[in-house]
Parts: sequence; C-alpha cells; structure tokens
Amino acid sequence: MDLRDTPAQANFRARLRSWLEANMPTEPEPATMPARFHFVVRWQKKLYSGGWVALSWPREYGGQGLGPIEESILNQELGRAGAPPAASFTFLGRALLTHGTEEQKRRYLPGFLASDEIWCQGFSEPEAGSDLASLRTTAVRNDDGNFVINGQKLWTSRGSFADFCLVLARTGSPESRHRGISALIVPMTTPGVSRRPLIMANGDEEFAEVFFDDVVVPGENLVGELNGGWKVTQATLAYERGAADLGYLAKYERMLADISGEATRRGLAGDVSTAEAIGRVLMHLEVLRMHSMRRLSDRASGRPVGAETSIDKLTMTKTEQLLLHTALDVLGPSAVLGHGGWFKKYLYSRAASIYGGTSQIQRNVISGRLLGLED
Amino acid sequence: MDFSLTEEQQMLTEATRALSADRFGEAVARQALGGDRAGAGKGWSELQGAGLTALLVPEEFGGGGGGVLDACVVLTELSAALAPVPYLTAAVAVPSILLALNTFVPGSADTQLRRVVDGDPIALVVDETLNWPGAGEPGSVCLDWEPGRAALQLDGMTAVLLTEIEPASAVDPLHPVGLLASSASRPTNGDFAVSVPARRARAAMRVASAAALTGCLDGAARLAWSYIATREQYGRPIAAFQAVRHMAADLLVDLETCRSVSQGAAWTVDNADVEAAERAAAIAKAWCGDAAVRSVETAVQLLGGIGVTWESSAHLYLRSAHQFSAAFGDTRTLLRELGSEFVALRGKADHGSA
Repeated sequence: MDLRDTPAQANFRARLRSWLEANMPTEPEPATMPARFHFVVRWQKKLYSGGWVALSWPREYGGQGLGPIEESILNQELGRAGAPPAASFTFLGRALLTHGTEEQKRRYLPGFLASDEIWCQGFSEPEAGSDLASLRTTAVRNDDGNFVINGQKLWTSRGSFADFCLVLARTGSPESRHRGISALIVPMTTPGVSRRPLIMANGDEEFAEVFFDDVVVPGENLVGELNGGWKVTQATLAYERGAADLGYLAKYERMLADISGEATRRGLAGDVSTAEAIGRVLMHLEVLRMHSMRRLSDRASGRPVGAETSIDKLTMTKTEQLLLHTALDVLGPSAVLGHGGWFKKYLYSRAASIYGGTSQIQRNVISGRLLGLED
Repeated sequence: MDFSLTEEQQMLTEATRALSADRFGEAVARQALGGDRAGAGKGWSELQGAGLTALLVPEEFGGGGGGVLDACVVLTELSAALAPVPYLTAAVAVPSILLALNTFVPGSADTQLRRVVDGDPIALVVDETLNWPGAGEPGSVCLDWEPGRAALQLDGMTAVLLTEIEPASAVDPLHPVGLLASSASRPTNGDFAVSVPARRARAAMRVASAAALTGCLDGAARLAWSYIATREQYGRPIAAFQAVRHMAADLLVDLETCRSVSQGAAWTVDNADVEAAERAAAIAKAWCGDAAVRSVETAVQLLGGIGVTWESSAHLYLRSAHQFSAAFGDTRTLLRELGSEFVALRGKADHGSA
C-alpha cells in the first residue's frame, strides 16, 4: 500500500495544475439552463483541446492511453481548483467503445469526446424505471433493414440539447424482457423525434422527455447484437455507478467550508452540536475518499468493474445527502429563506438516491450478486 | 497510488485466520465468558510463538519490525474470531507507547520492549473516559487487565508497570478491565503527552481500535448472512424477503467502508505527518465505532429470537463493539474535535457562500 502519487502521477498532476491555472473559466457558471449547458460544453471543449478528456481511453479513439488513476487525478484537481467538473457522461461512450463496430467508433467517438456532438441516453420510460427490462419502446425492422422506433423515454439527461440518443428499444416479443432489447443510435434531428424539458423540483431543466413517432434509423445504427442491448447497458451502468470520481470530494469539502463559514457568521461556531454535525460530514467525506482510493487501485490493477459499485454508489449517496441535510440543519431558518442557495442544492441532493439506480435497487444488487442471497 | 495489501500482509491475514480457526472461535470465547481464560492464554502463546504479538517491536529487540497496518490486519481477524486476547493493548498500544518513549528518551523503554517480545501481556492504564494518556490516579481503568498482569503507566517520561490492580466490571468479557488500587498518584506526563511520538502512538491505538471494530462487524455479519440463508419461515428462507435482504446488504456496505477506512488510516499512521495521521485515525475510529455498533445491532435483529439469547455469539460481538468503540476517544468526542478544528480552520467568516 502506498497512497501517494508515483513520480509519474505527481508529474501529471503538476502539469495539469499549471494548465488549469492558465485556463480556468473566468466567467461564473450560469445558474440556469440553457446558458449553463453551453457553459459546460465550452469548458468541455477546452479540456479536450488541452488533452484532458478520455484519459483512460485508447489513443486510437481519441483518448490519452492513460489509466483510471490519471482520470481520478483530473477530477481531484478540477475539484480543488473549483473548476466545472469534467463531463460525467463519458460512461455513455463506454457503450460505443465496448460494443460499437469499428465504423461506429470511428464515426461517433471523436465528436463525442470533443463535445462537438452531444449525446444522451434513452433508457428509462414512464413505465420502466427501476425495472428497465420491462421497457415498451419498440423498434421494428422493416424490409429495407431499417428500424422503425415508437415510444417514449423519460429522465433523459441533456435530452433537450443532445444531437444523438442511444436508445434502448424492444426488438423481441413483448414478454422477452432483457433478452429482447436492442441499442440503437438515433440522431435527434430524425423526423418523428420530439422532446419536452422536464423541470426538476429545484427548478432546473436537467432532463427531458423524448418521444419517438415512427422514427426510422438505418440498420447500421444498431450497437452490439440484435437483442443484445442489455449487455450494452451493463457497460454504461457499471461506470455510472462508480465512485472513482474523487472530484466530488473537493466540491463537497468546499461546501462544508461554506457551511462552516456561514455558521461562524451566525455565531454558531463554538456550539458543540454544530461542531459534531460538521465533524460527522467530514468523517463521511474521508471514508468516501479512502474507499474510492481502494476501488481506484483495484481498477488500476485490472480488476473488472462489477456489482461492488453498488456499495460505492450507496456510500456516495449517503454522503451527499448528509452534507446538504447538515447545511439545512446547521443554518436553519436562513436556509429556508433561500440564503446561499442551500435549499436548491438540498433539493438536488434528494435525487442522488434515485438516479443511476435507486438505493433499493443497489441493495438488491448487493444482496443478490455480492452476498448470493436469492429472492 | 496503490491501496492493496502487500503479499506479507495477505499472509498475516491468512495465518491469523488459520490460527484463530484452530485456537479461538466460539468455544474459547464461551470459556472466557464463564471466567475460564485457559484457552485464551494458550491462544496468546500461539500468537506469540508465531511472532504476531511483537510485530510492532523493531527487529533489534527481536520483534517483527512491522508497521501499524501489519498489526491491524491481524487484529481484524482476531476480533472476527472472538479471540479473548489483549492484542489491541499488549501488541499495539503498549509497544507504540514504549517506542514513542524511546524516541523521546533513547533507551528508556528497552526493558519493557523486551517483555513485549517475550509475549508477556501488559495492560494499559487509561483515564476514566478510557482515553490515553491518563494521570494514573487510583480508580483509573486498566484496559485488557486480568489477575497477575501489570499495567503500563507513564511517570513523567518513563514507563512504569503497576501491579496493585483490582478486578472491575465492564461489558465485554473478552477484554476484561481492572481498576488501579494503588494510591501512588503519578506526576502529569507533561511534555511527552503532547509530543509528536506520543500523538502518533495514540493515533496507532485509535486506528487499531478501528481494525478491531471492523473484525467485530465482519464476524457478526457472517453469522447473520448464513442464518438468513437457512432459517425458513413461511416455507422459504427468510433471505427471500426483501426487507431482510436489504438489511443484509447494509451490513456489507458498512463492512467494506470499514475495511477501506481502517486500512487506509493505518497506512497513513505509518507514513504520513502526525497531523494527517491523527486526523485519519480519529476518522477511522469514529466511523468504525458507529458502523460496527450499528451493524452488529442489525445482525442481532437478523438473528431474531436467537440473537438476543445468552447462547448466541451475537451479544459477544455487540459487547466487544461497544467497548472498542468507547475506548481511546468515543465517536461523539472525536467528531466534536474534528468539527471544531475544521470550523476554526476553514470556516472563516469571509469564506462563506453569501
């Protein structure tokens, strides 16, 4: 065990730090969509031009050929500098990287990584949330070999802005569940695609509903095998649930410092219950840091990403929700009056136990796949 | 960055697990519960013979020359096997203090270090809140004490071994305690108690407690997992019920995070500066204390009626978890210290989000 950077990692970190000093965005992050979306895309393009995107991807597909540790150093340093995070949706690209054909990879990955083309993930549906295998959107292959897609997707992140959607659709019988699902690339400009923003409890437009009405895509847009879409989703979800993203920690710690500053201003700094509440969050942050380092080290040594990411996701969720709950707890009435935007952040934190698999689904995965307990 | 245990540490884990299966487990714990510590004594001799009780003592004294992380992997396995041995005190806390004294005044603790190597278990005098160092007043608690055993106390900057100790009651029969009877009050520990070596020694005690707590959680969780997979009600194993399975899943989340934080903190105590070592150890101790008590309680619940009986091992894990959690700084005290420090350092009024 050695929790320090190797000389090469330290060197990478130093290079990144000086690049960040020179390239940090000067304008503040806009509070509302769509300005915030465009801000994030601009930042993502800048990161790409600096060579800081897809660090652990193979060079031939636009990556840097480095490892998960460098990915994590990037996240840490972005968090430390207070920079906007690197796009957390590279997991979607993993589906193409792992299951795409050579033509698909060459056609789509460069634009994806450069943020010239924005992608979204068409998985969940109104009647298929946790039980994704029950999805009802259909894709029927016609005589020309094209797919005709009909149905509706929900909770589509960046759905209002995306250029492409990776759609899961039923290509088998209605009862075929996960054995009859295929993954298809759908350009969002295709006739028959329409979208409607979904306003979240905190007022943000992070998601969209996307409707498919006789949408025709060519057969070559199939990713993976026909009826093999479930395997494609497993590749993306495992990455979505990972805790290797240490960038959150710096952000959380800065929020905790802000809560402490606010408590000091309000004369609560000497209060033992305040100190204990803040100490408790600090403890969760350190546990998450150590645990993430362990996972990262496993991943760097080649261990495949698997069901243990459910443990990591539950741990992250607990930490984020405790942090924002503590903000309201410590700051009390002023937070309810909207001061510091804490209530908005708190509302957002409530989604952490829903997205990427609810906390209950994570516990099903842990008990079933890690403990071998059957239902 | 590498979080993996070395091959040697994996061997220590395996060796301790094998030795524990042979020498400890429920039967020996039950003997200790009934006041018979013969099996415990034999097990300790085995540990000593295998070189595991002097891992922290430098090789020049005949010890293992290992680090805190090495001792921690052993301690986790021992406590999972309900071993009624004074490993946390006699094999971690005492040698850590003696080594700290030797750093402060070279040669001053050589004699006692040799006793550690000889496998002579030494108890430890702590204050009335079970924290170290204590002033050694009469009535002070001696951790891991049993009749015939001496307890380590600081006298200024030297270590003394006190023997006028009376048995006392505590919740964990696997780790009995005594009370100092002697009225010879010791002078305060002055400079040494706040010195860097002493602070590092206390961090070692805390992180070792975290390792012991991880073991309690591990042992209790394994009892519960195997029980719910076989216990049938309504015609099927109770693990078939989601309410039960989700509790079982929570045990694994606690266990895995305890392993991560206790091992990472042990490495930090061995390798980082004293501020980082203290912080990591306090956090590991606080987390593992909370998680172990919470999860052993969950295990008791999963074991149902059996879990609340004298004949189940569950209460032994619960007793150990509470006692380990209370010693060397309980969760609430540690969190208040960590929180106050963070607010003082990072909570400058001009740093806010207004």
